[in-house]
Amino acid sequence: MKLKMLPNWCKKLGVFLFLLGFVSTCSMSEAKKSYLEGYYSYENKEVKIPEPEPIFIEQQFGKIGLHIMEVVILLGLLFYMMSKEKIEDDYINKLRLETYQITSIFGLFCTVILYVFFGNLKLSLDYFINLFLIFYLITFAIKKRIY
Amino acid sequence: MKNLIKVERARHSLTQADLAKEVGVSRQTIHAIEKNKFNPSVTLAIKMARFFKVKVEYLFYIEEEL
Repeated sequence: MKLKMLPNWCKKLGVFLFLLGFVSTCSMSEAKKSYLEGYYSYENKEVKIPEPEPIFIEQQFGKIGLHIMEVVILLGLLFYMMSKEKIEDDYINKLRLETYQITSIFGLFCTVILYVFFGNLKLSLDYFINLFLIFYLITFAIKKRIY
Repeated sequence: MKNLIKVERARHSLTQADLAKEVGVSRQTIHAIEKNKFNPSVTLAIKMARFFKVKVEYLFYIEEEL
């Protein structure tokens, strides 16, 4: 398989984008509110949760800021996935091809199982994108480190 | 397909990483070839044979079925 891939430095860019998106998403007021809700419900306390301060992205883009940062996370993962290894050879290509194969079958299997048992389940696309990207990255990393 | 890479490597006192660097592949690739888990491309087979100064047919051979 000879795919045109991004240069190796794009891996670093991918990690940067992922961390930027992840940290921003976690520090948004929506996320903070969810943590506090979870914390107080665990302790069975009836406390009025204070409204967290919105961060820069929320001030600038409002509700769509969260979506933008989720897209940044996905772009980061995509950049990491599509970047070349330091040493790119036939064996790495073979591993990559096998990983695509396993990931596709696994993704299809999960989708079919969900459809069979929960026919009316409504899920947004990001669940499938995340499943594919994360499963691919984990499988490829394991396969590379087997030897 | 079997190979004598491990033998040749030992003869030249080379580690997998050394050989990998010489022929421009990853250490994992050399390990996979030695364990017969991966058949190298013709280019890589020729590169390794040239490096060890042996024939490709000597380095890689097909085990006859009995």
